[in-house]
Amino acid sequence: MSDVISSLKEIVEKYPSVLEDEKKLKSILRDYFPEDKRIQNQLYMVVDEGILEDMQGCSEIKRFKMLGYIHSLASDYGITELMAKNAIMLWVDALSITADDVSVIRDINKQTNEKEVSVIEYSDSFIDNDKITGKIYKFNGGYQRVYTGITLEKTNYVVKIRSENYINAYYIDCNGKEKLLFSHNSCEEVVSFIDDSINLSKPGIIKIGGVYAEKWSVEMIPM
Amino acid sequence: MSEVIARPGGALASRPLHFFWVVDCSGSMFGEKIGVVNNAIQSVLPEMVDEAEENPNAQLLIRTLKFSTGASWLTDSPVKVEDYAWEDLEAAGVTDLGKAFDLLAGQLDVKQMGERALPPVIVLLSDGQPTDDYKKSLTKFQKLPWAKKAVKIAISIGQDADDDVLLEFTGNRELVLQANNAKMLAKMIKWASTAVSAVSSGVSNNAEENNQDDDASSPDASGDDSDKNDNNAPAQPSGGNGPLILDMDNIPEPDDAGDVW
Repeated sequence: MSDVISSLKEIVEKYPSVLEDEKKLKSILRDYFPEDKRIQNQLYMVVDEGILEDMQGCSEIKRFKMLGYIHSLASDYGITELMAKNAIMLWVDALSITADDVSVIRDINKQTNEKEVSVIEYSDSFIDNDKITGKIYKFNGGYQRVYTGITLEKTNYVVKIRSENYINAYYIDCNGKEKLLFSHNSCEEVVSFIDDSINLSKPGIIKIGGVYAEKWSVEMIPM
Repeated sequence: MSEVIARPGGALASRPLHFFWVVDCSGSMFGEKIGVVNNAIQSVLPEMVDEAEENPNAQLLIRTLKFSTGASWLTDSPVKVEDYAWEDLEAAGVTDLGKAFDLLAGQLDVKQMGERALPPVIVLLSDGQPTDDYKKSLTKFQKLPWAKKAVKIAISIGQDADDDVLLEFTGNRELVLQANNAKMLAKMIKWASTAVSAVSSGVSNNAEENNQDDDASSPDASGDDSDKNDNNAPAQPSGGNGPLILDMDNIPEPDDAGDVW
């Protein structure tokens, strides 16, 4: 990713006029990242959404505004807010803008070694017949429920949870109370976008589970 | 059997016809696009050689200019078509079209082209937007007498190419050829090469007839009249250093069936 940012910085420094011309900007992005369609599209999204234009001239972006960018990008493009945030941050870094920390958006599968902000640990638990058998995270091709638990150290958060892949069922267990939030039988979508939130007014454990669910993202928003 | 009448002063020497490929090698051409360009030009060269052999009065000379971050000629000087070997191009960098126009302008100088040359043919291929300030360079290029007389064809590769810039270059919308997929790109490259070869035949024949007046037909001598001879002019017989006229009826129809760039 740092390569992408340094290339973007180079574009901004060497060809500042392209930032004013969407066609030229897209063209130069294709020149710089010809082999990486994914990066091209990530960067285009921010341009198409008008976010880049809005950010230009700003020396800093406040948290509220940043969240607005993220939400609009995520909802208009049907992507996770984590992806949206990553795309926006590429431009934020390239433009050397200071942005408020919105790192409350977490992809818990990537948090194993991170101890920052509110998620202090997570574990992957394999549950069979509602009995936790250990911290195992695997799929056997059956219909086991797979739970991921996170322990939250802070209170007064709204926690938004999303699955980023195929699932047939989706559960949240908050402090022992299980709730079925979503049931989805289609496997046609490459990315399922499932959104729900729970209020967390006291420290506790949230467990997330779903058949065939492999990847989750958790966003914590202060109430 | 017809009697061959010897020409006073002996046989005519063939007149150089400069053919320039100007190829966008920026990063966005990476992959299939540059691959098709390489293959198509390489495969059309033998046909150009055949055409050249049929037109002994014109000596077809090829030179290729590539541009990406900067621009450069692939060979030090124009090469006879029969000796020309295509070197595969690679794509990387940005789209410095202005630099390409600068180099092209240098080559279209009367000193470089000679006074007896036929109007040159320039085929520009691009899929993007210029990243440099091309306008100044294009304006300078367009003022050159040889540039005014040249046949200028542009092949617009994919839907993101800047057709307005290409139109500025050709001066004729019909000569901005759209190639939105590999098949069309190959067809357009072939058409541009072979159509011009056919034109060179007509020109060289007419040139032979008009040769006695040629001393007055160098691009400098044509003066401002060349403005009237741009590519927008309707089809008309050509000769000497007048504009080359292409048979526009044979331009392949755009076909966006299949994958579109």
